[in-house]
Formats: sequence, C-alpha cells, structure tokens
Amino acid sequence: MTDILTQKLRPSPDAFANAVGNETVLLQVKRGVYYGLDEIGTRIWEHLKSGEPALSACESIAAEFGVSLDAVKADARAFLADLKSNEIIVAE
Amino acid sequence: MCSPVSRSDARQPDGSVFEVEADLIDIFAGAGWRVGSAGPPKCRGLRSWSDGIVSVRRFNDCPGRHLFLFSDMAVVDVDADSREIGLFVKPRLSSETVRHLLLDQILPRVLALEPLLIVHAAAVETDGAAFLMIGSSGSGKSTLAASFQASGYELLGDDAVLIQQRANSFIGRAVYPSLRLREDSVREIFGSKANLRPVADYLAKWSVQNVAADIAERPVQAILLIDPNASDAVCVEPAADAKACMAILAQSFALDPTDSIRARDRLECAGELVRTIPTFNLTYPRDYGRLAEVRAAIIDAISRR
Repeated sequence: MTDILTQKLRPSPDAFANAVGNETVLLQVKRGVYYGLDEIGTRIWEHLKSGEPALSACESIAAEFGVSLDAVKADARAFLADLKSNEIIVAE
Repeated sequence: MCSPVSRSDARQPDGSVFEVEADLIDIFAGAGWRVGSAGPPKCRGLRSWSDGIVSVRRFNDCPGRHLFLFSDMAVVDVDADSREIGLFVKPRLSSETVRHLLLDQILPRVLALEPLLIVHAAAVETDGAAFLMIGSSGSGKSTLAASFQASGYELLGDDAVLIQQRANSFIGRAVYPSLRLREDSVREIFGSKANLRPVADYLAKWSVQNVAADIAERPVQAILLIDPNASDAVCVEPAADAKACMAILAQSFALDPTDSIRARDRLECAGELVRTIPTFNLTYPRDYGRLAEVRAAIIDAISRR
C-alpha cells in the first residue's frame, strides 16, 4: 500500500477552510463536521492545497522545528488518515 | 413541485383553536415572520435529523420548509420562503411551554437564516459594551449572568445572542431579554425577592421577571468560552484561535445544519469574530460562594485585553 505521505491528496470539494491566526478551521459541509488544525496541521493543509505531497511538508517542519523526521511523519500519517476518513481530503 | 402543508384548519383535535399570545406575534413580526396556530400537518417524503433537543424534518420537494417536532408537545411548521410559522400544540400545553418553544427554540433558528451569527450565550454589559459567555446548556451561563446582574451589572440576556459584523467591529444583542435559572440558583442569588414564572412544563427552570434590560445593541468587547467541567481554581486564559472558532460554531443556532451556504457563512463569521474580538477560556468551580471571585477574574481579564 502506498504511503499516505506520498499519495496525491487534495482538499475535498465539500471542504471549506477559514484561517484564524496561525491555525485553520475546516468545514466538511456534507457531513456537517468542523475540524481544527493547529499551526503544523495548517502547514500540511497548505501543502496539499498547492498540490504538493504531504511528505515535503513533513521535511520542512522537521528541519524548522529541529524534531525527528520519523516522528513528524508518524504524526502526519495519523493526521492525514483522520482527514481522509472524514472526507476532508480525497485521493486524486 | 411543492405540496403545501394544510394550514386552513387551525383547530386542535378537541375542537378548540389555539391562540398565540399577542406579544409573541409582535416579537416574531419584528424579525419579519408571521406566527399563528395551525392544524395537524399533513406531509410526506421527509428527510430528517435530530439536534438533541428537537427532531427536525424537511420536505424533499420543499427545501425551504421544516417541521420541528418537540416530543409529543408540539409541531412547528417553519416556511422560510413565505416566512410563516404554524404552531400545532397538544391540548392543554401550558402557555409558558409554548412561549419557551417559540422564543428559545424557534426564534434563534429562524434568525439564523439572516447573515448573522446566533450563539447560545449570555450577554452582560460593562462600560457601554457587552461581553459574551458562550457555553452549552448547563455550563453555568445563566448563573454567572445572574450573579453579574445581582452585583449591579446590566444583564442583556442569558440564552441566545445575535452577533452582527459592522465595519471593523461586532455588535451583539440578546434575541430577547431573559434570565432562566434553576431553583437553587434563584435561591442563592436572589433569595426570596425574585418574581418567577415557570419556563416550561418539562424544564426544572424558572424565568426571573424584570431583571434583563430591554433589547439593546452593544459592541462586543470580549468572549468567554465556558468549560463545562468544574475546576478547583478560577482561570481565565486567552483561547487558541481554531478551538475558539470551533467552540463558537458548536454553540451556534441553525435552521438547517445541512444548508452548506449558511454553514460557510457561519464559519467565515466565527473566524472573523475570533480574529477581531479577544476570546478567553473560562474554567471555574461550581460554588456559589466563589461567584464573586469568578466575576472579578472575568472583569480583570477583559480590562487587561
């Protein structure tokens, strides 16, 4: 199975975002679900919006915050799986 | 093609005709809606959802029309296209319960059709502006609001607040001036002085009369998000942006939560509100003896914003 970090993922057409400070609130309209992103989650979201894979966001986050890339990737996989299960992001 | 629900016969099953009180008619008229009694609704092809208080059904072929089913008490037929509300109540339902259903359940939802945010909140005035205490039912909004009123502040309302953006600020006003408390809170805060009226047949709450100001608009100066869990200490801290936005949305009224256009409007409005107005998390002990401490902490946080 392809690593979710390298999959081509994009925001669902049913998902809307509103930036508040360094964070983001997402709305999945059809499900009626609101989802909050912290600063790290917002960075990954912005990468997906621009068509870049999440892996590149993980690499820049690990470098900027001086944390283990493996730890960032593990958190990001869980995060993306959650967004996907709530149909906030979809595979292309 | 829409099949209209019959409204021509407003007689109840026992032959009587239920009359909506005149002041309720005026309140809804002020919001641009007509409200009156209606006969038993005849409907078909409904989709439905429940928001925990009421079961709501929508007509497949009339998207502007919603039926609100309040247990076995009443059915309220809301037509957003004609802006008409038809009320069908069970025999001998008390006037207080009808008032509660219309003012506390229906009015905030129909107002939410406008480009406004209607939130489950108490509003208190200080220095010509309002601070809002937002929280779920039972979180202590009304008790805190009553505590402020009893200590000399102007109470604007304790249940639903209409928030509207004007230029670079936000204006808030109570959907209607109210204060509703459980019996223990009435006793602790007002003693035996309060003029009370029951809120509804199925609620253990009392409406305290003549304590809330007439409906008045005030600029919103701060928002406090009440943690429903009691704590040992009083704590008022700046709220994280995304969580604050989501907390506001969770306490917002909607006529139809599946209406994507209005959902996006609420998201944008809540986001702008959080970006503009200082927002705090409030945790406090549920102890009447410490309400003065809670009030002081809130006022201190607001004044230091």
